Amino acid sequence: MNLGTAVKFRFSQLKNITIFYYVIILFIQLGKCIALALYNDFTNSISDSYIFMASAVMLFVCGVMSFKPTFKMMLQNGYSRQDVHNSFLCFLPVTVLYAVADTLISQLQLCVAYGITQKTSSFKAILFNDKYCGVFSTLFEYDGQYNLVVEILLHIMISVLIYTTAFTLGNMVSALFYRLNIGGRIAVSVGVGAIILLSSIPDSSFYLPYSVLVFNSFIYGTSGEYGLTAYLNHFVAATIILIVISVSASHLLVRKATVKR
Amino acid sequence: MKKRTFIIPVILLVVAIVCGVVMTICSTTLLTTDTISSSQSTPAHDARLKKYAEMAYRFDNNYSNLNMCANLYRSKVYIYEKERVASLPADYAEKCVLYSKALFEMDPKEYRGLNNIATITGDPALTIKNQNACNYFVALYFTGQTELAKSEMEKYVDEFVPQYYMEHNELLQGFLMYVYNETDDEKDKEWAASMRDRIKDKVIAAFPENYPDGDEANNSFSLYGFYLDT
Repeated sequence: MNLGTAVKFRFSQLKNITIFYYVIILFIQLGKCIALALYNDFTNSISDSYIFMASAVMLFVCGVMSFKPTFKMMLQNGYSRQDVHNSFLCFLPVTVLYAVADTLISQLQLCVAYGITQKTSSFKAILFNDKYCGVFSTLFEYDGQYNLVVEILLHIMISVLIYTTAFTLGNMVSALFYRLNIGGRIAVSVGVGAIILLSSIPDSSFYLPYSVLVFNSFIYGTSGEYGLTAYLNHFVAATIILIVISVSASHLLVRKATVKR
Repeated sequence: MKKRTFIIPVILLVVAIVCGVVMTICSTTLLTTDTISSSQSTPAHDARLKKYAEMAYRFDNNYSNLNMCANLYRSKVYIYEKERVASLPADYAEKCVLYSKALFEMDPKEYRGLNNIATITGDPALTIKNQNACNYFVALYFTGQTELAKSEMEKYVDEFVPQYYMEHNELLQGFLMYVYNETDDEKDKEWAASMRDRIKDKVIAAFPENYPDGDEANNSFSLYGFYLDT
């Protein structure tokens, strides 16, 4: 069984990338705190959504790396494609760690930002205050009517779904490109780009492009014409569908060997 | 074993793709776009929209889908498009009540979605309540529940905010005018006239600068059109 070794190898690879990534994130957060101390403007510190976006992109890239340079070396050492694929599946729970870490960093930054700008070190004041400054309040622009613990858990759950979707989509792209020859890779890259570009042109009535409307309706279950509002159950269903599609497709793609010279 | 590792992912893949397509088609976005783009609506087109909208609402009873259903079953047709009433489905009025009541009674907290961006400006609770209140009373009236319609409307008029009323007064005006002009019952006529006076007084009290003489001048906050055929 080479699965255990494949998992170990993947772990060491992911560990280094993750440490490097979070060091950068912590430096950015530190920079924000210093800027806050200088300019003393709390309102500019509230938006921390970049962390979640960056993590999603990071995990997508990690997924794309599944069948990259190290794969041939792994094959030489007796690993099969299925080992690589299964070791990837073993790593799906890593998205939970990312989601928890991102939420903690984001909330910690809010604590520090509030403490700096309001010049207070009161734990109570930092954690529970009005709707704009409460550390637990800004996750969903908290309006005082929702359970704080539920909000945080919900936020983590949504992050996990987004990260897992990005991670598995990256793996599917990697598996697809592994199976295709050079001509196929070029055709897929150019074709997808062209479809996205053409379908992004708004129609004459200046409504949103049809592709954006379709994307919104699939992911969010609602119109994007009057402001985008996502609905939880629809969003959860859509991300689960994307995860199932990408995991199943990548499983099928790596099932057959491609003879490469 | 090999067959199983092939068949299970294939089944999962097909089921997921089908679910994704159904979800997308049923979603409000496409319905909304469809409604906007169909300048000349046909009965078949209307029926198709209603079918998909109700399917979407059953699948996910969020505010967006409910709003779509309520927009497709609007009671204003009884007042402003009388020629269409004969061709309406038998359960049209019941569905008007069902969706407008659900929207009227919906908890304002549910208007928001995940990212908390309201789809409308102003106070969502008041705007949505005012938008749908009239739809609800009129629907009740045309399903034969006249007394309930009257009592609900009286409660609403007691509580309504004139600023929001001014943006959505067309159906309310039309309804009171309809009751006053079309009914032979003197009590109903009296009721319509008294409701009209109560609304007028509230609006004039809220915007005295627009009605210096207490009249119904045709200006931006006008009560123009809110007349009874006396």
